[in-house]
Order: sequence, then structure tokens, then C-alpha cells
Amino acid sequence: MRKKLFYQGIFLFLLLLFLLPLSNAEAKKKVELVGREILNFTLPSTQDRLITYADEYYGKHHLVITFFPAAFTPI
Amino acid sequence: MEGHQRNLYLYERFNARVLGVSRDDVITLKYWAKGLDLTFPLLSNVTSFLGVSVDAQPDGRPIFSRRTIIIDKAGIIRYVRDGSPDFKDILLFLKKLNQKGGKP
Amino acid sequence: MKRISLLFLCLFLMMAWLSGCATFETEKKAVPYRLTAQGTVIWEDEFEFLPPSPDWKLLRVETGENDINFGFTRSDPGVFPSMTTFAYDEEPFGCSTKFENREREFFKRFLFNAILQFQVLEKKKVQVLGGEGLEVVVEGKDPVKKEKVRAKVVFGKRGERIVGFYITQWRHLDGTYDLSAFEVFDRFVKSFKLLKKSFYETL
Repeated sequence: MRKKLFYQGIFLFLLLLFLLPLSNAEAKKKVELVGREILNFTLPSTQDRLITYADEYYGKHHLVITFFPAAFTPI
Repeated sequence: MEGHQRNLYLYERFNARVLGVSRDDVITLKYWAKGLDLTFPLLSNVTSFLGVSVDAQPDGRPIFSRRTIIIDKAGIIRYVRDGSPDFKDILLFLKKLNQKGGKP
Repeated sequence: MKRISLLFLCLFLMMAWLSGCATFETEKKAVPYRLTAQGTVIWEDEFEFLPPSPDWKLLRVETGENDINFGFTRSDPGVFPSMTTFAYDEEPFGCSTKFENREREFFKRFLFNAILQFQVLEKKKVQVLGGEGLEVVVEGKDPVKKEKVRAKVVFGKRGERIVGFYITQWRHLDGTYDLSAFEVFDRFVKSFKLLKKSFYETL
């Protein structure tokens, strides 16, 4: 009985150890992004013009960008 | 996206601009933006490179995940948040960012 | 051996007791309003208004974009559909801070899923929330389901942003409207007071 409990305990502890870094991985990614430079992008826009980060925002305005999965869906 | 549109006058006050980016083509985005009466641009990133650069492109999926980032005037990413945008949180952050002259 | 099993039993009992506490707490959630001596309701220390009579049931939406803050609903006698609902909404459909634009944006989405043919019955400038507002009365008909709705929307301002009040009364296509419900709504809107600045006004 004691031996069984002991092994169960060890198993749970190892499981926890294994899961902990996995949960941290996503959090690490987010932290690493902050402080990084955005790459200078040019993309077509809904305003009939190409938008280049360097021309429109760099040195001028702060920029909020929301990445979203698809148009015609709730964001 | 309406949340951003409703807050445009406040983004202006904090010297901020806003963009939406998805992997849709421009025509689809234009129709959607017109339906929502958006006055800020949406960008079409069909090849996903911009989403990839900020980890908003999950492996094996044809669409971005929801992620909002804020870049200061000097081009540095200052804020990252997953999921639907928390508009009040964004506004508070922009207010601080603008107050500290772009250096929080 | 006995001690270990006793320890586990204690832990288990503690967990059971704690989980019971958790459920107990959610049942005891405080109501978000209080009544004043003058018969008005103060809602979350933010709004004050005259409530309708007790035959109206309170509607409350917890969270979510494009949802009303709170409202009242009443089942009316007659063939389905027969009900009246009115509500206050901090962020009515649309984005503009100008009444005319907001009205146009709003009616693009209002009752969209009901697939109605709308007709504007009345549109006029009114005084609401101590300032200028816009009131629109519409009727929508669905000849397929044989239903109709009479709705009144009042747009007002809270700081720089537009807020809205609306009432919808549903009837069978051949039914008659009960305009006294609209008087209840008008009283509600007229009595509505903003008790403090919104988040956006403090920025």
C-alpha cells in the first residue's frame, strides 16, 4: 500500500515537472516579443494604397495592430 | 474592429494609429470594412510573413490567431496581448506611452 | 499506515469543505442595484432611473461586445410573438460620434437576424441625458413569418460617445400594438441620470 502511494506520488510530481515548462513556453514567447523591433513591412490596404511602416508610422505615431483570423467574423 | 473605430478619436489624442491585419485578400477586406464603416486601414497579408514575425501565425493553419501588439514611435514592440482586443487596456497603455514620450 | 490514510482523509475533507464554500459564495452575489426613498433605482452606482411596474422582469447581460447593459421585458397577451422589451445600451451598434451617421450604422445591424422590412415612422431631435439626442420610431414587418415589430430608439451622448435606449414590441402581423408600454419607456428615458463619468471621459 505504501509503495503504491509512493510511486503514485513520484508519478504526479514528474507529470507536474513536465507540464510546467510547457505552460511557460507561450508566456516566454510573448515576453520575448516586447522590446523587439517590428520589421519594416509593406502591404496592400483597404484604402487603395500600399502601406509601408517606415513611411506612415516610423518616427511619427505609435501603432496598434490587431491580427485577426478572418473578415466577416466577430473579432 | 468596431471597438477600434469607436476609439479613433482617443487614439488620435494619444498620437496613435491603428491597423487590422489578416490573411484575407484585399477585396474581401474592403467589403467587410465598408460594411462596418471603418475609416482606418486593414492590411491583407496573404503570405502571412507579418503575422509570422510576431508569432500570430499558428503552425499548419491558414489564418492568423487573434493578437494585438502596440509599437511605439521608434518601432519597438511594447505590448502584446492574445485574444479579442481589450480596448480599455489598450487605451490605458497608449495614454501612458504617450505621456512618457514614447519611453515607458 | 493509519496516519497516512488519516492524513488523506483530512485533506479530502478539507477540499470538500472548501469547494462547498466556493459554490456558496456564487449564490450570494450581491444585486447590482438599490432602491432610493424617491422610488428610483441606482444601478451599480453609475445610473439612476425610474423603474417600470413589477410586471416587467429585469434583464441583465453580464459581458460581451454588442450587448445591452440591462433592460426590462414583459410578456403581452395575444398570439406569439407578443412581448415588449426595453433596454439601455452604452455601445449601440455603430461607431460614429455623430447622430446621423450612428443612426445609419445602427439600423444596418438592428434586428438583422429577424429579416424585417423596415419603415421609419418618425425621426426627431430630442433632449436626453441633459443634452441633445435623436429619436427614431420604426416598424419592421416579416411577411414570411407573419410577424411585426414597433421599435423606438433614442440616441444620447455620454461624454463624446453615443449611448442608446431602445424598446421593441413584437406582435403577430394582424395584432395591435399597446402604446402604453412606449409611455413606460419614455418615462424611463426621461428619468435616466448618469451619476459619474464613464471610463472614456476620465482618459
